[in-house]
Amino acid sequence: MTAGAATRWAWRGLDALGSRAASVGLMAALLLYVVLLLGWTLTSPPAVVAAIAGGVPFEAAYLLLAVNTVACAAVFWRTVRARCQPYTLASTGSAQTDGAESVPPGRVGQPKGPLDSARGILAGLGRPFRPDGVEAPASAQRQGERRSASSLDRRVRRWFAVRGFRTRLQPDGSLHARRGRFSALGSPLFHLALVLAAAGALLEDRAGFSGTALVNEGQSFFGEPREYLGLSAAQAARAPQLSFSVKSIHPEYYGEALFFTELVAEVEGPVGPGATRHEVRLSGSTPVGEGELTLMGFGYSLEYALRRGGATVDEGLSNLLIFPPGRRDALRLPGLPYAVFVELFPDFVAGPRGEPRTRGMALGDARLGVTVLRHREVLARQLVPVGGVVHFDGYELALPRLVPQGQFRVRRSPGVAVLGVAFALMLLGLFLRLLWTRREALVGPQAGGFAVALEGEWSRGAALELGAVLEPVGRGR
Amino acid sequence: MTALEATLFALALAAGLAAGVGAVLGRAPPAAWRAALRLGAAALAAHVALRWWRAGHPPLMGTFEVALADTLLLWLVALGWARRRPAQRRVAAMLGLPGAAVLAQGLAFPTRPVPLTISEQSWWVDLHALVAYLGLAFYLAAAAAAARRLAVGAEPGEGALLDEAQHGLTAVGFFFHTALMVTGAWYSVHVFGAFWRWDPIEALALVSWLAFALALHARLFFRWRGRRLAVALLLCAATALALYKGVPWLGPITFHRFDLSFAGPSS
Repeated sequence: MTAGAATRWAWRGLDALGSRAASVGLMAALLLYVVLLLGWTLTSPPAVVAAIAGGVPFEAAYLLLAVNTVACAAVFWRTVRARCQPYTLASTGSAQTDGAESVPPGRVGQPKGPLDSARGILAGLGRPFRPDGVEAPASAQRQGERRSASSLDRRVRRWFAVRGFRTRLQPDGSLHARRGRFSALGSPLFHLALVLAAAGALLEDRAGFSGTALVNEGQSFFGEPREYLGLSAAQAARAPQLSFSVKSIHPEYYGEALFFTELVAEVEGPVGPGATRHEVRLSGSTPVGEGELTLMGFGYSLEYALRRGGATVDEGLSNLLIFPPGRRDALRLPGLPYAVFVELFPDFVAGPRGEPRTRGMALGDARLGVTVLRHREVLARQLVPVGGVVHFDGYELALPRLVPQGQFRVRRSPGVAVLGVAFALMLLGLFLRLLWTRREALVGPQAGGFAVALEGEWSRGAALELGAVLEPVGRGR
Repeated sequence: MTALEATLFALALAAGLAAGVGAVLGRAPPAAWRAALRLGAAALAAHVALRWWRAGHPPLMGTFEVALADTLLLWLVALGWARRRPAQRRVAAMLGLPGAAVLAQGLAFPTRPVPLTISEQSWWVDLHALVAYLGLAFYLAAAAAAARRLAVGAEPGEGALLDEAQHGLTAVGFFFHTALMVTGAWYSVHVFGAFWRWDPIEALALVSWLAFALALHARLFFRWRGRRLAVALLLCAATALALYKGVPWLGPITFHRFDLSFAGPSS
């Protein structure tokens, strides 16, 4: 096969993949896939659905659609160039004042036929219009006829200006109005932006990093992979360099409900000289070092000290999942055969049968429900205030302090900039193609009215609107 | 709701119903339908303004507030449509009915204003909600045009104008729908670290978006017009309704629900 034949073959393949039927068929297939995925989202956690959506049949569909989109844009490109030609009505010559024939008619090939005069535009409706388009009584029509042509000319220019047209009075007194010359660019722009967004997402997936760490108030985080919760080996290799210390974490709740109206952490980073202070929230990421921080959640860690016979056996700060109330977590005592389960009641109140409950989420009269087991034998079950002591089997377990704990997400997103550009181009493309369609009009005076030539994507409704504005102008002349 | 808010709400509901029923039956003069819709929109705007001032945030927290904003924007779109296309003012006035239905649905949920939760305290969320409301408003208007297009049959004059209206309104709705997904994805990257999370609402948004994209391509590529396009757009509108109004019924499996009570719509 010669190089020329190969090129022709490749072009034919691209042309076929960029065909209308291929495009709509692939979109329909994708729609069917997403309907299936929707079914899964109703019954399965997002991670499971994401795993299904990342399966081979789905990836094949995405790939084909991406190729189809690129092919469509390539095949369509020549048409786009033709459609972005300079405005033509103004350059075809000036409108003459002696008859409708002198004004160029609207171009063929648009959704509607040529419209030759304002009166002609309105003929289809067969009823009188006022400039605002509302049916007018006869007296109002007569009043309209008395208006001066010059003031109504201004109305026509304003009508165009309000709709985003740029207008220019021609030397012969005709008015040229145009907008949306590059509307046709919108379609390839939008479709290529879809491919760019997919590339951004792929980059994010392959090179991005997202990890979660629990850091207590007063503690520091140094960005070591072991400090994150459940980091995979691949993710660990991409962990960004950053460090920060948590100075304070402040939650606020709506009444007594588990409903955060404020959750902010004050952090300083990097640890050491040159540290700057940042506020970290959920609703916005804060750049620290090579990554960005978000405060995803809140809880408490428990400080403890285990003593026997006056000597300290073990002490420390344990990250416990005991918030929100109702959760129980186990405190580990290394080398000892005890399991210590802890439950938190942030603002204790006794229930009807004396059982412990909480009034709300904020720390008030905080109590800890502690159960100590050795194998299956319950050695102690006590409700103690923070600062209290639990005794069991000759040991003394002191629980002096609850420390606020933040769940921080550390993220590095090389694909986000690409995604941002893609999203912006997507919206720009849609705006150009769907909302800023190419339209051009030449309005020239003629005996007893105006002649109008329209070109571009004029809807009949918009042409009627223009006609309604022009009709009284014609009558007033 | 305060007594004033309740009065404004009742007035808006009654005016919307009157406009919608009047337009469907075609009994009252057109000016009366539009006046009723204007009255409904004005009452609702006053209600939203009062609530905004009282709650300290725009109406986006909870199904009731979403219903208020959805309906207000739907009626404003209807009034704008009637103004620009006088020949279709009757169809536009019919939008009083779906607006009233959305308002009534909102009443099934807690009406007490609550502050914004931490995940909602962002301009991105405000923008996301605004484009969502606008998307639904234009889609419902397109659906009304499509329904009317089916009703008028092969009538050439009105049929052609309705063809344009159903496509034009869908195109604007599709723009806002895309903006909805773009702003949601952008905020999701910054909050959750992932631009797509396969939440049921996200999946439904994609289903609806693809359905509308198919309808727009069918018109462009295969010259779908008239009744065929109207049927397609009505089917698409059903997916949009499921997307926008199905949220509260999904319960805690979606993070898009913001009613304080998660037990069920009537609790």
